[in-house]
Amino acid sequence: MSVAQTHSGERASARRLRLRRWGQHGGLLIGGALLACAIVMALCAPLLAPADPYLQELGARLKPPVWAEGGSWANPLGTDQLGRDYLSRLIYGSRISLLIGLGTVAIGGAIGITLGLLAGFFGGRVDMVISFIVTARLAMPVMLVALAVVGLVGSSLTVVILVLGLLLWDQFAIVTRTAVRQIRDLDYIAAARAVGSSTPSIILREALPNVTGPILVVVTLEMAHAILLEAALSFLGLGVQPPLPSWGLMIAEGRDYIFFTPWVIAIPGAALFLLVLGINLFGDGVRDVTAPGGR
Amino acid sequence: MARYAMQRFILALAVAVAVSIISFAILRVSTDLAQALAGEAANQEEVEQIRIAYGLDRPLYVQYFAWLGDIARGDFGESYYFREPVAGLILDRLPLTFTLAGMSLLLALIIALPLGVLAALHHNSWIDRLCLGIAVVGQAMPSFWFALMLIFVFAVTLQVVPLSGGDTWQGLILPAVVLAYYATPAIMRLTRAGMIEVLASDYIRTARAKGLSSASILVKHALRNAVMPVVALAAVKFGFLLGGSTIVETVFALDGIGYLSWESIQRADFPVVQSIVLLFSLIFVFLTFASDILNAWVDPRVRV
Amino acid sequence: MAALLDIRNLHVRIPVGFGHVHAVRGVNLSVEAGQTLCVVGESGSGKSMSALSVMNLLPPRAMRDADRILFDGVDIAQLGPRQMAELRGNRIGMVFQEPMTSLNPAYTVGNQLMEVHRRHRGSSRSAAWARAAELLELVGISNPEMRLRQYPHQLSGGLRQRVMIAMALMCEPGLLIADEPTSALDVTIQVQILRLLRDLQRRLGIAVVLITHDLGVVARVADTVAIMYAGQVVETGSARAVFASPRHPYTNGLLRSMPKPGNGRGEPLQAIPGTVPSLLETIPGCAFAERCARADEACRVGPIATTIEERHSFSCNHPADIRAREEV
Repeated sequence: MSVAQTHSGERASARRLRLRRWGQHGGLLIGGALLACAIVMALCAPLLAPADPYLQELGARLKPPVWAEGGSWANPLGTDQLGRDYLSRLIYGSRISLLIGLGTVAIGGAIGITLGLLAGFFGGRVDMVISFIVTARLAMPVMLVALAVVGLVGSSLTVVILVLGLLLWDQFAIVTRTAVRQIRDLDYIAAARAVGSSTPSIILREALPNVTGPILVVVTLEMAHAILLEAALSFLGLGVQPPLPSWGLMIAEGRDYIFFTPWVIAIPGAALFLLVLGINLFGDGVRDVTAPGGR
Repeated sequence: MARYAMQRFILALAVAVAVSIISFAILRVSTDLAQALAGEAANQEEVEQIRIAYGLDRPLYVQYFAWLGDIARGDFGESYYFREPVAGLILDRLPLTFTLAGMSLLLALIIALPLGVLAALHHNSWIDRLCLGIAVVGQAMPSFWFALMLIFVFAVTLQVVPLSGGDTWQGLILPAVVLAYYATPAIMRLTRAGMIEVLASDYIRTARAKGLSSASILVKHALRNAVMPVVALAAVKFGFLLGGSTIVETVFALDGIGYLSWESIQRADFPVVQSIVLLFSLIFVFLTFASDILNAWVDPRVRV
Repeated sequence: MAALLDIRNLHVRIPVGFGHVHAVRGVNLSVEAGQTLCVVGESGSGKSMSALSVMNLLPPRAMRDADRILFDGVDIAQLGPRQMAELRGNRIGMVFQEPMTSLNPAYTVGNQLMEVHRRHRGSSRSAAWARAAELLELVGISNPEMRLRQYPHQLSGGLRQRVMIAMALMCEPGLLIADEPTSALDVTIQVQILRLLRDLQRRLGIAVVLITHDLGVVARVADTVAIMYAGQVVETGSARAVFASPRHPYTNGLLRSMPKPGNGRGEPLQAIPGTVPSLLETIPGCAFAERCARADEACRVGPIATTIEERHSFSCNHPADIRAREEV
C-alpha cells in the first residue's frame, strides 16, 4: 500500500470514528433531541397549537390539565388566569426563548469573536486593551445591569435581545482569543503568510475554521444563559411584556395562584428547564466529541 | 510577591474606574432621567426645570466627574424616591444581603467540595455520574422557578419554614438554598476537574511510592493543590451570588440590596440603581484582586 | 544465594475499550542483594509496568497477576495495601523518570524528604531534618540546609533528580527501583546521575533495578541484564555474557543499533526493521517473529524454546551462535 493510500484510509476511518463518537454520546443525543423538539415546536407552532394563545375565555379560567381532576382534552394543559389555552401558550413561548437565545448569541458572538480574533492574532497592545475590556465586562453584574438598562430604556423583546447580546460576549472573546493564539504559530499560518496572503485574510480563511469547535460550545452555553436571563427578567416584570407568552412571564403571572394551582408555575418552569438542559447537554456533548482525543 | 500584588492592585483600580465609567454611561444614556422624574403628565417646561435642578443639563463627563467626586467624599447622592442619602439606604440593607450570600456560599462549599472530591476519587463511577447529573440539572434550573417550587413544597405544603421575610434566620434557609444551588455546580465541577488532574500527577505517584498513608496523600498532597483554584472561584462566586440576590430577594420578599435595586429600577430611582451597580462591581473587582493575592500567597512559585 | 527480589510469571493487563492491553506477559526477573539489574527495552515493552508492579503503583485500572513476587522472602503480591505502604519508601525506594513534576510544588524539599522518615521511622522533626540534610549531602548536593528550605521550582532538573534519589534512600532501603531516571535530563547531567547511582549502590550495598532504553547506560552499571520485548523477557543473564554473545536476534538488533564509542564513523547505525506488535491481541508464537530475519513458520505458531545456561538464558528457536556478533 502506498503512503498516500494509507493516509486517505486513515482519514476515512478517523471520520467514521468521529461519526460513531457523535452517535454514541448519550448526553449529546438527549440534548440534541430536546433541542430539536423545541425547534420543531417553535417552527410549527401554528400547526401544533390547539388554540389561539392570545384568545381569552374568562369563563374558563385556570382550568386544570387533563391528568388532574376536572381536566379535559379541550385544554390538555389547562388554561391560565385569563382563560387562555396553556399548551398553546407554551408552544408559542418556545419561539420567544429560542429567539432570545439565537438573537443574543448572534450579537454577542459577533462582538466577542471579532474582539477575540483581533486580540489573539495581533497580540501585544491590542491584546492588552481587549483583555482589559473583557476584565471590566466580567466585573459588571450581568443580571443587575440588564435589569437596570431594560428597566430604564423600557422593556420589549427587542430591547431584551439587544441588551443581553451587548452583555454576553465575553466568553466568545476569551475562547476565540485562546484558540487563535494556540494556532497562530502553527506552520500553516506561517505558510499562508509566506505565500503572500494579507493578515486579515489569513485570519478569516485560516484561523476561523479552526476555532469553530470551541465557539460552538460557547454558543450553546450562552444561549442557555440568555434564555435563563430573559426568563428571569420577564419574571421580574422587566423583560418581555404581556400578552406575549414568554415562559418566564407565564411563571410570573401564575405566581399568585401558587397555593391553588401550582401547575401554572410548574409547567412553564419545566419547559424552561428541559430546554436549557437540552442545550447544555448538547454543548457538553459537542465539547466531548470535538475535544482532541475525545473522552 | 510585593511587585505582583502591586501589579494586580493597579489592574484592579483601572478596572474599577473603567467599570464606573461604563456603568455610569450606559445607565445615563438608557433613559431621559428628567422626563422619568417629571412623570408622563409633565409638560416640556417642567421637564426642563427638573433637568436643571438635578444638574442633568450638563455634559455627561461633567456629571460623571461630579458624581465621582461626591463618591470620593462618601456621598452617594440622594434617592429620588426616599429623599434620603443612598449610602444609608444601602448600608441598612447590606447586612441582610451579605448574610444571605455568605450563607449560600458556605452551603455551596459544604456540598460541592466533598462531592467534587468524591467524584474525582471514584472517577467514572456512579457517584461521579450522580455529581455530574446534579451539576447539569443545577445549571439548567431557573433560580426563580426553583425558589417558587421550594416555597410551594416547604412553606406552603409542609409548612416547615416561614413563607417569607428575613426577620428570623429560618426565613433565610430557603433563599440560601436557592442561591447555593445556583453556585454549587461550578464549584463542584472545578473541584472534580482539579482533583482528577492532581490525582493523576507525578507527585501523587511519588507520594504513594514513599509509602504515605492514603489520608496523608489525599489531604496533604492532593487537596491543597486541587483546592487552590477553587478558592479563587469561591471568591468570585460570592460576587455572582450578590448579583443573584436580586431575584431571590424579590421572590422571597427579603428587604436586602437586591430587592432595593429591583424596586429602584422600577421607580427610575437613578442614584440608587447607579450606586448599587457600582457597589456590586467594586465588590467583584475587590474579590478578584483578593483571590489573586490569596492564590499567589498559597503558591510558592509566585510567592517567592 | 537467595535473590532479594524474585518475580515469577508476572502479567499486567490494562483494560482499553472492549479489550485489554496485555502489557506484561509472563515476566521472570530476579535481583540479588547488592547487585544492579538493568531492564532494557523500547517504550511499550512493559519494563516500566514490571517495575511499577513491584511497588503496586500501577495505573488505577491495570490488573496485576503473578505466581509470586518475593521480596526478602515475603511474597509481596499477597500483601494488602497497608502492608504494601509500610514497605514502600521504607524498604523499597523508587525514582521516576520526570524529576520536573515528581515533586509536589506546594511543599519545600525538606518537608517532602522529612515526611518519609517521619512516616516510617516515627522520628522527630529535628532527627528527620538532620537525616534529610545528611542524605542531600550523600547525593552530592552542596549547602543542604539551604536546599531543604527551597521549593522544587527553585531547583534544576538534575538537582531535583538528586533530591528524588535522596528521598528514595531516606530509610536505607534494600532495593532501589529507578525507572528511566536519566531520560528526561541533559546528557551531561545523565552521566552525573548514573555515576551517582553506581557509587551509592556500591557504598550502601543496595540492590538496584534500573529501567532504561539506553544500552549505553547498561554497559556502565549493570551486573545482570534483562532484555524485554513486547511484554516478555527475551534474553537475560550476566551483563558480561549478554554483551559478549547476545543470543536473541532482538538483543543483537539492539546492540547493532547502538552507537559504539570510538568508531562512531565506521559502520552505520542499524535500525531494526518493522514495528512492535500490538499487545491487544494474543501473540501465539514469538513476538519478534515479524521483524526477525531468522523466523520461520514454527516461530509464528509457537511454542518457543527457552534455553537456560549458567548465567544466561534466552527464548528463541534459532538463537545466534555464540560470538555471533563478531561475525556480523
